[in-house]
Amino acid sequence: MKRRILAFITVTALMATVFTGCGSSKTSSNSANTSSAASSSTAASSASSASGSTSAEKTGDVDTVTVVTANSYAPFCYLDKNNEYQGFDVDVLKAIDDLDDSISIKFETCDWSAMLPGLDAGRYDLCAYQLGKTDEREQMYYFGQMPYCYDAGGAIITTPEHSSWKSFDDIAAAHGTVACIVGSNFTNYVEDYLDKHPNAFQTKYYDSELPAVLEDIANGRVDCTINDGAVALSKAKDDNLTNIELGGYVTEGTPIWFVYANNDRGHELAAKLDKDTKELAQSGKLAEIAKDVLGSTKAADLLTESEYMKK
Amino acid sequence: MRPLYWDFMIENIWVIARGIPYSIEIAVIALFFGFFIGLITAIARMYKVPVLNQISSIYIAIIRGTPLLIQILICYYGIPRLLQYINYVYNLNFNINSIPPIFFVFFCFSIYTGSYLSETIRGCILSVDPGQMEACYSVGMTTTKGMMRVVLPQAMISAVPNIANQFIGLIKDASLAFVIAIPEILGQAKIVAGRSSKFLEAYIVAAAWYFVICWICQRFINIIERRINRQQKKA
Repeated sequence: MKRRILAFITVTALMATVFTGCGSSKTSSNSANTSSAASSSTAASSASSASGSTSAEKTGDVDTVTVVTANSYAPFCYLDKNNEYQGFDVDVLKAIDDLDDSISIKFETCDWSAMLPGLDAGRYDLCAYQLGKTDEREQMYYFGQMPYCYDAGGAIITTPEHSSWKSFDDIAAAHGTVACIVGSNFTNYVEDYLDKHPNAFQTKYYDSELPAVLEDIANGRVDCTINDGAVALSKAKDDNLTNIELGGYVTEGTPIWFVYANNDRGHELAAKLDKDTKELAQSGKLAEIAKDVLGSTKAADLLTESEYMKK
Repeated sequence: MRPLYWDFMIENIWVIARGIPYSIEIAVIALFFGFFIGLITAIARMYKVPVLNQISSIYIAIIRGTPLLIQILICYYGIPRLLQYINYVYNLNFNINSIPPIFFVFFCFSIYTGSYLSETIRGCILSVDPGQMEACYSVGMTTTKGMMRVVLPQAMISAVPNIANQFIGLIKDASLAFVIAIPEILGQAKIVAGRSSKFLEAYIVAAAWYFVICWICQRFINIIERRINRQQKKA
């Protein structure tokens, strides 16, 4: 009898886990289909009411595109209080979803180290996580022809006592230690510099998100990091870290891409989304999203002025 | 389907191997301190030493009831706060941020190992025939003396396999230390993978290294165990 009760409890618990798991992914996928994606707050509030109704709106063959993104990289991709995906990358994809009737976008998240392998495995169709091109990534994945924005460039993020650091050379001269987030674009810049100037300064690798690194900078455990200045300051403010300041910018804005698997499906999707992104940029919708979410149109302006638009 | 990049794996074997000293250091130090923590708490619980007994029980319950990963994070972010507070209360001027992060790992892993070894050691002491202790009393030894000279040596022999297993477990658990930026084996693998996006390849190399280390340790343990068995037979 005891055994039976135990078995019953186990089965119920397992079922509960499975069902709640399905439920949460469903709501997140439908949040992408809400009508007005421009303003993130309305999107969030209407998401729950709109669930399920969207597939009916779109006629013909609708291709479900599974996007993998991060859940804590504000303001680009994060989960808000209601567990809805928000942020610049998410809003751009939502706008593409509205624009293009042939696709329906659903969002999923996982650890950074599992994102790109998830493309290989076919679990995800594309990755939107403010990714820049690197030689290594280009060998293995497909980037399409059209970036969806530019990053603002990497700033030296440090404490007031080091805010006079304007370049990598300054860090090297002061024997600073630079925190590097594993896999980040900015880490690539640091590594490129160190390839040219071996042992110029110390690095310390982090497998964590920016807030953990900022806390270590604020506490003096590491001297600085290279990251998006605006993001870092907003995070520092959220976490009440009062002694985070910006030094100089060490890199210029670079194009940011959706990353696809390097196969037929990836190429096909990229062609479609390239066209959509271009349309968003031309119509000014992209600038609108940038203004709304990032507080400045710079990310979109750099793209509109770039050579990619002329192709 | 993209193929595995064998060249990349071969190229990075020694890069990832740079993490091995950290993993072994963590395991050795944690086992050393953990052993003493375990011994003290085991004895405190067996003899129901007032206060120490209760503290030990609570400590073991808490450590066994929480994931090691969370313990590491709490140590890394929590201990500095605690020290800051102590600094503030006693007006000390101790620079907390000069403590290298690896010390937090040593501390945390020692505490963690201690809680698990405590139960192991307690079991082993209980497995020694109570007649041994009675014999000690009969020749006028005190409890402490009897413990040190007769019971513990016998108990430790039966504890060796368990402690050795704990050591192998620790080497693998050390892979969690990268959350606080200790570049051990898995950390090195993640660093090279992050640079190149070849995660699977890097993880395979890391797994191979763990396997090699654990296999070597297992061989050593087997030899030690055989020695002990032979000696016990002689006796």
